[in-house]
Amino acid sequence: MTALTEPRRKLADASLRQARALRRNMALSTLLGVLLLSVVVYYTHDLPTRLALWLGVSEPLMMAVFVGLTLLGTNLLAGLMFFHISYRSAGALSHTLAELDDELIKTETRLRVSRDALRTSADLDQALQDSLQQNLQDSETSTLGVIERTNRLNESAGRLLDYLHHSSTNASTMAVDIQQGVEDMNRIARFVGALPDTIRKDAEVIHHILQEVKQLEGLAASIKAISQQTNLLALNAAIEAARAGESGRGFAVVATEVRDLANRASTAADTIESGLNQALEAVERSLATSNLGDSQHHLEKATQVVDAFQKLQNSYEDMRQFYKTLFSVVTEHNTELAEQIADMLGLMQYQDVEGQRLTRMNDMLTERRRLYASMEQSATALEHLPQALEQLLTRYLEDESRHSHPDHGGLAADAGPGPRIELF
Amino acid sequence: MPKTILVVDDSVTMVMSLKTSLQIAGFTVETANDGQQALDKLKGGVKPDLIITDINMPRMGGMEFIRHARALPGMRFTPILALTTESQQAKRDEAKKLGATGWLLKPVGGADLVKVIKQVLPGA
Repeated sequence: MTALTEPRRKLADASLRQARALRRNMALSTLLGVLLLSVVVYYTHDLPTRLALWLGVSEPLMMAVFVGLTLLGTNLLAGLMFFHISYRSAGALSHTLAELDDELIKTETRLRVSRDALRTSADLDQALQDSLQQNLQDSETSTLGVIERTNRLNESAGRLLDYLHHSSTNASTMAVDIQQGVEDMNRIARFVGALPDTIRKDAEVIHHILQEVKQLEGLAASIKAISQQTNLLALNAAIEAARAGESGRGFAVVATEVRDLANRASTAADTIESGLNQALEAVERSLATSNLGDSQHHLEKATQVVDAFQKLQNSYEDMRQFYKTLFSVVTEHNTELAEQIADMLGLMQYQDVEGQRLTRMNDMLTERRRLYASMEQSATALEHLPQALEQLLTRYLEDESRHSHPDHGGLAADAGPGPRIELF
Repeated sequence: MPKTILVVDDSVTMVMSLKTSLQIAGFTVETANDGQQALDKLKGGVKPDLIITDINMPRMGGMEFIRHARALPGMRFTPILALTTESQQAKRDEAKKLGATGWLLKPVGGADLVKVIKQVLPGA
């Protein structure tokens, strides 16, 4: 029942009451007039005749005037009564119409308020849509930022792994070089260790040679003595050749050559002796300066160096093992990190799922705004608004039910009728 | 030689997350923002070993893309996985009929995705 039903009912009742009063008054006044006329005619049956004679008109005319006046009076009375009743009814009708006007004004006000509310609701929908759109863009931007940072994290982890791998390889190469160096140093140490014995043996050999060389000094003196004797013999031979005269001339030539040879042999012997002495002095000086104690010292130093190299090799071996362990641990962590990153990137897909849900909501709000806007243009459209909104709600809920709804506690989702992953 | 995967999705976050995830797993990744762009890439010489496609996309949706892609030479046996939020059985059946290899509901974790890829792409 609307607010206008009661005024309308009152208006109808007042009109009905007025019609009934008119009918009742008309019937009553007519009855009274007829009764009055009948009484007058009954008690004064000659009154119309006498009035006709007194007025000088015919009796039928007088009778007609008499009846007419009676009816006129009756109708006048009835009219007065009808006016009275109509006046009261018009007051009630006016009051009812005033109430009706009030209700119409109220209804119009309600309609205007409803339209204002719909307009405000449409504006609110627009604001919600703008907010949803902004949220969608913000979430997309932040998700892309997270993906980019995740990518950088993965690249950094990869670079660290490459660096460790490179370092491990370098350490291995270095360890091999150090091993080679230690072996070389060991060979040098063995050589240095054997050096004193070698030097001693070499010195003995040199001493032996020196003795033999010193014996050559005597040989040189003998050669010198022989050459002097030969010189004397050659001189004597030359004297004897001169005595022999012409026959000894050839022999004198031989004697001269022999003397010359003797002199050259003597000179050679001097040269040999001098050379031998110089050589002997040099060797003896060299032997005198060679110090086996220093060799021992050098040997100890060399041994220490070898030990240091051995320690260095052990340290590098430890370092290499450390690098291998570190590389293994970091590789394991990197693999785990890659898995975590992959799962985290999977979680980024929520942004798209939520984005699609917001888009559907946005579409629904757009449709609702369109419905509100159509209310502005047509008064009758307002009557269809509830039905249109109900249809919109049904479509929205059906659309929602066709899409998966993720469980944010994990990657599992409400898959609806089918499995989350299905291979055909 | 790393396997090549073509990722088709109108969501830039989906494309980037899948691309990064798959690259970490050792795949080479090509991307397209809708079915039409993906189809143009296939016609332009891109030869993926596997395709992952969304279903609801502007210009050309996933269903139509699968239908066109299957008609291209050399694409008859290339695995095509649909990755979507659509959960209706009717859609799954339609995709299967058009030649899709599998149906995955978003979101799918990186490990699960790689596992599925290795199932449909031997040697990956």
